[in-house]
Amino acid sequence: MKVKALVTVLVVVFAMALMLGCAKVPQQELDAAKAALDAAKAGEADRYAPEVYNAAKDSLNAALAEVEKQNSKFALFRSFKRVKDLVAKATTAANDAKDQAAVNKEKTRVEAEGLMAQAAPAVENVKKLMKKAPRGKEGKAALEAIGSELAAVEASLAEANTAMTNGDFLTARDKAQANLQKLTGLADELQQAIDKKYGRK
Amino acid sequence: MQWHYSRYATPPPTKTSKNWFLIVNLVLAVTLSVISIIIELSAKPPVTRYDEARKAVAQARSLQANIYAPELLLTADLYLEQARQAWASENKRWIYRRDFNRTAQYAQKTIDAAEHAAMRATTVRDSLRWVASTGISLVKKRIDEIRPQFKDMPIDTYVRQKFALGEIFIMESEEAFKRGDYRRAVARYQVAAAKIGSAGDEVLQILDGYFVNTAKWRKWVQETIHWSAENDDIVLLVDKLAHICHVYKAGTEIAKFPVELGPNWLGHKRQRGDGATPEGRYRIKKKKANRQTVYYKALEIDYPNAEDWAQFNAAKRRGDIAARASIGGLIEVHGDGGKGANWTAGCVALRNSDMDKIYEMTKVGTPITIVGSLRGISTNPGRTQAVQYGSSPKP
Repeated sequence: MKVKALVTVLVVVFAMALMLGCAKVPQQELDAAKAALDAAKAGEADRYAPEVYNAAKDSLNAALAEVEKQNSKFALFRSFKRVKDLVAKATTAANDAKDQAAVNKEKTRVEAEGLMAQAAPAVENVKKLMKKAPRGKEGKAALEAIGSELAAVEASLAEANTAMTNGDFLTARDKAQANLQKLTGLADELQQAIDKKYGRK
Repeated sequence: MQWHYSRYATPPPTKTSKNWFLIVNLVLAVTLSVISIIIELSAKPPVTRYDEARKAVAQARSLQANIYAPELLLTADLYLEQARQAWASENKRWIYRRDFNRTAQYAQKTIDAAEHAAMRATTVRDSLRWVASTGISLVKKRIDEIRPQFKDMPIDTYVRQKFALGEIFIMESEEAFKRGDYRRAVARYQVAAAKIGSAGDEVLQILDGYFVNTAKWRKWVQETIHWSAENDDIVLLVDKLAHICHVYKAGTEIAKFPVELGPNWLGHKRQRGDGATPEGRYRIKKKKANRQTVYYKALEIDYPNAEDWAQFNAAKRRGDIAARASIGGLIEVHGDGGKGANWTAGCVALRNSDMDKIYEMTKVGTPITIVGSLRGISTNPGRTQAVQYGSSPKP
């Protein structure tokens, strides 16, 4: 009887060792990391914080590789500690990428909005200068030319507005910046004509 | 012998139990040995190869393959996932039945695709940077060439807008270039190039039509300069395209002055009020100063001459101009210029300081030839014969 008990104990101990040694994949953490990466991607982290986003993606890939590496081992020898570390790193990086993207995107949005806000008074300024500019026969053709260029600027600014509405702040910023340059050029041209006119008088 | 068991006493091991203990240990040792042998003999996953594949993908991504070689990077990503799935699939099989060849193959394919993506991304990025940089420079140069013509030429509003949009697009391209988005910089510059090119073509088309009369202008210019050389006298030569009035004496240029013309200076004057400056060989018929002119000083020319009348009447007959249209007149070289625009009703305006000089140099009867352009025309006195000017009374 005693011998049977001893054998039973040994078998139980062996089975328990097998069961305990058979560590589990940290699936919940992996899913959380994937979700964090998806969220970062949805927040355009690949565009606004590409380096951190790429690091997060690589950490997740490394974690998935580590899972398979451990799964290839005999159950007793598996350890998912490194997987957990890599997953934690991936999750942190993904969250950082999301946050950084949000910050950078907001920065771009604010910048684009600021430029757009400058563009509106710049258009008004050109219109005001057009009223002051020489309107006689010597100025008629030039004013018509500037008027047609201003129409082009307004059309382009409308596109910038659409880009802003669609959340494409980089495009909006580029367009706003370009139009501001053009408006400055038109204002300078008009101012020169005005100065010339008053200078002559 | 009989054993007396107490509650806490451990019974001494029997010979049978010792045997069992040995057997169990032996079984365990054998089992562990068998497991070790199986593990040792079983196929090993391509861990290193897979890691290399993963790192190759990361490297390609860091070289912006997602922007400059997206298809190749996607392929590399897919191969990496297939390698991982193949690995996972093998892990589900009995250890001695595993085969990681497919995993290794996919990992190798990943490495190849990722390296290709990285190389392609670098090449495409460098090439796009070059294309954008060169393209932006070329379009800006073209803008600088066309802009002065645009400033002075009577051009349709839509062409001007196209040109202005081209300028805006090139500035957008520069902005994208500054932040390293070369793909966008190229896309923007291409739109700019198309718009500027198209606007430039329209200008060229206008100029092509304009230069149809080059042969006639050449004849007029050479005859005028020859006349100056032969008569050792002053002549005026107005180049409308360049907006310059050249003064020749004895066949040699002695001065030149910037001029302003009518708003529709491009092309010959056809009728009164068209804002065009006539082209032809004329003479000064009256010099005006003080209260004789509102434009400081003026030299009235003998427009319209016989050729102008012939053209005007032919245009009327063709119905190109209204039957009641008038040919106009009172075309002058006058002062009050320097406004920086083509503002006259068809006259040639000079700055007052220049007008003073030209007024002094000329007299009633001084020939004045107005041509569309002197481009490609030799202003050497040449071998042609001097001719009589216009149909008005000769001095």
